Formats: sequence, structure tokens, C-alpha cells
Amino acid sequence: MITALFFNRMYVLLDFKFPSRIYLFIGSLLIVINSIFVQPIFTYNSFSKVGVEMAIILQAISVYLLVLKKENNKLSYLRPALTFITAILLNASVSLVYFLYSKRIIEMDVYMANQLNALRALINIITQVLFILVCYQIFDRSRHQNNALHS
Amino acid sequence: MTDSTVFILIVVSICIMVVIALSIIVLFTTSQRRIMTEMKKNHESQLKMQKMLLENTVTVQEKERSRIARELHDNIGSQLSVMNLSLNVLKSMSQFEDKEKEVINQISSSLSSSIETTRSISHELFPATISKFGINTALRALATKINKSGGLNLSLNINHEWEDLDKENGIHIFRVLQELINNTIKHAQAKEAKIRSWQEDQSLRLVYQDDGVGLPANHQNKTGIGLGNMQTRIGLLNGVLVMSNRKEGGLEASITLPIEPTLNHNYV
Repeated sequence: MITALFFNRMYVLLDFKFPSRIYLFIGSLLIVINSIFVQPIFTYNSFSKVGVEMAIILQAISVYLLVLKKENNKLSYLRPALTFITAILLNASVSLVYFLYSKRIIEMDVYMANQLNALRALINIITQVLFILVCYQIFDRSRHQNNALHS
Repeated sequence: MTDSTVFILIVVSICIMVVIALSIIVLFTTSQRRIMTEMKKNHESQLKMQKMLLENTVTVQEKERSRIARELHDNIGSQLSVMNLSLNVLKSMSQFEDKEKEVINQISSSLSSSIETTRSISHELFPATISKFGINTALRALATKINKSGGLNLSLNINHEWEDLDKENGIHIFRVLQELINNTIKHAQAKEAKIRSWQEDQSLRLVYQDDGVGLPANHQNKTGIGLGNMQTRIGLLNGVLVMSNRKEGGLEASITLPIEPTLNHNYV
């Protein structure tokens, strides 16, 4: 939900009309379906998580494309948002791969499975580092704006 | 697919994703730096152009003032003096009736007044006192003239001589002070104004103060021609002009000039 609102805000900033309400409705539906068909209970995969992750990936890519079209002078303002989207994109795509191969990973040799889990943990750390980078970029942007005002 | 194939597939796909993510960050960061540098360059060149235009405007303005002053003084002023002289000769040569004498006297009086006005305008346009006697004398003459008019009491406190100050630089400083005084008379509703100047270690300080209404609240958003000209003139001398409101009320313009201010031809 928060991610959807964030992307909605990005579309507003980039002057792009996106049917956010329909998107939120479909997303909510997918989350509900995912909650109902919990895999261990029904041994049935609804793949609704795939839908959610795919939506995030597509939105992230669409924002990149919109930014590429945008005027150059807005790019500095959007830099922290773009890093944040990159972090979300990385996390969503890795999460998607792990989800699609989740059954195989569970059935896999313990040593290999542990290595893959360690890799997943590493990706999570990278994502966190990117979030910290976003905070730094926001701080850096504010500092530059203050400097520009006082010069 | 065997377990090892799946393992390699997952690892490779994750590596690709990490590389893509990092590439995106690097791409946007470098392009942003490039854009910022370009924007800074454009901004700098715009500023350079504006300063160049202002400098040219000031130079042309000064040349034109000098030319008009010279024309007024040497041409119109001289012609009026000759006319006045001829009229006096005519008056002494012929016998006129009282009525005619009165007319001649009126013409003579008008001519004398016109000669005085022309001289005054000519001196205002280009104060020859600066080149002849220096800026301190020119400022004293200006203060005397303003104090005589009765609208504003201007006091001077200058504790040094402007050594090595050439005519052009003297005119720039004089013009800035003239503009400040004019602004005080026109807008500030002030009764007192003072000019102080003293020498510090590596600079000359010149402070102008009045007890008027001060600068308007939004003065920083306004860039008038007068203020622009003053900034340009001080910039030409490598100096700094700071204008602010005094705590007691009124304006304070503080000018800091390097010692022996020389005209900065590379100012722009």
C-alpha cells in the first residue's frame, strides 16, 4: 500500500496520469488472495505475490522511463527517489526469484539452501544500505539547496 | 533441472539484478553530476553576461554624461555668457527709456540664471572637482550644496586621503555616494545623513547612514537600476557594497574597498 502511494506520488511529480485507484484495488485483492491461500495449509500457490512483485517491478521501470523523458533540471530533485526505487526494484526482483523457486529451495541440499539464504540476506543488507544512501542524498540535497540560497 | 542448476540460475539472476541496480545508480549519479555542472556553467555565464552588460552601461553612461557636461559648459554656457556680455555692451552703448531698460535687465537676469543653471547641471553631470582637487573636495562641495538646500543635513567624516586614486575610480565612488544621497532625498524622508570613511589594515571602509525609513522589507527581491549600477561600480573597484537597515532606523550602506583601488578590467 505504502509502495503504491509512493509510486502514485512519483507519477504526480512526473506529470503522468496513472489509474491509482484501480491499481490499489487490484493490489489489495491480490494481497487478500495471497492471505487466503496460504501455501502450507492448502498446498496451493495462488501466485498473487508474483503479481504484486511484478507490479512493483513494472512501476519501477515505468518511473525510470518517465525520468529519462523528463527535463534534466528535475533529475537532481528526484535522485533520492530514484535510489529508493532502485532498492525496491532490487528487493522485489530478488524476492520474486526466491518465491518462484521457493519449493525447490526447500527441497534442496541444506548446504546449498543455506548459501542461497545467505545470498538473500546479503541482498537485504544491500537494500538497507541503499535506504541509508537515500537518507544521505536527501540530506546532501538540502545542504546544496541551502548553499545555493546563501550564495 | 538439478539442484545445482537451480542454484546457479538463482545466483546468476541475482548477480545480474545487483549489477543492473548498481548500474542504474551509477548512471543517474554521474548524469546528475554532469547536469549540475552544466547548469552551474550556464548560470555563471549568464551572470558574466549580466555583469558585462552592466559594466558597459555604466561606462557608456559616464562617457555620455561627460560629453553632455562638456557640451553644456563649453558650448551652451559660453554662448549664454557671450549673449549676456553683448547685452551689457548694448545697454551701455545706447540711451534707452526706463521701460526698455527694465526689459533689458530682465533678459540679463534670465541669462545670468540660465548660465548658473547650465553650469550647475554641467557640474552635476560631470564633477570636474574630482579630477582637479580630488574626491574629498568634491564630496565637501556636494555636502555644502545639499546642506544649503535645507532638505537634508549631510555630514562628512573622512579621516584619510584617497592616495593613488585615479579620476575614473574617484568618479565611481562619487557616483555611488551621489546615488545613495539622491535615494535618501527622494524616498527615505530622512533629516540627517552622514558619510564616514577610514582606513583599515588592508582596506578602505566607507559607510553611509541616514535616519530615514530604511530599505523596504522586500528589497532583496528588487534589483533596481540604481542598486545594480552601484554594485557594478563598486565591483569594478574590487570592492563590496552591503546595504542594510540600521537598528535605530534608517539605511546603512557599507562599502569595503581594497587599499589603492585600481580599476578592475577583469572584473567580469
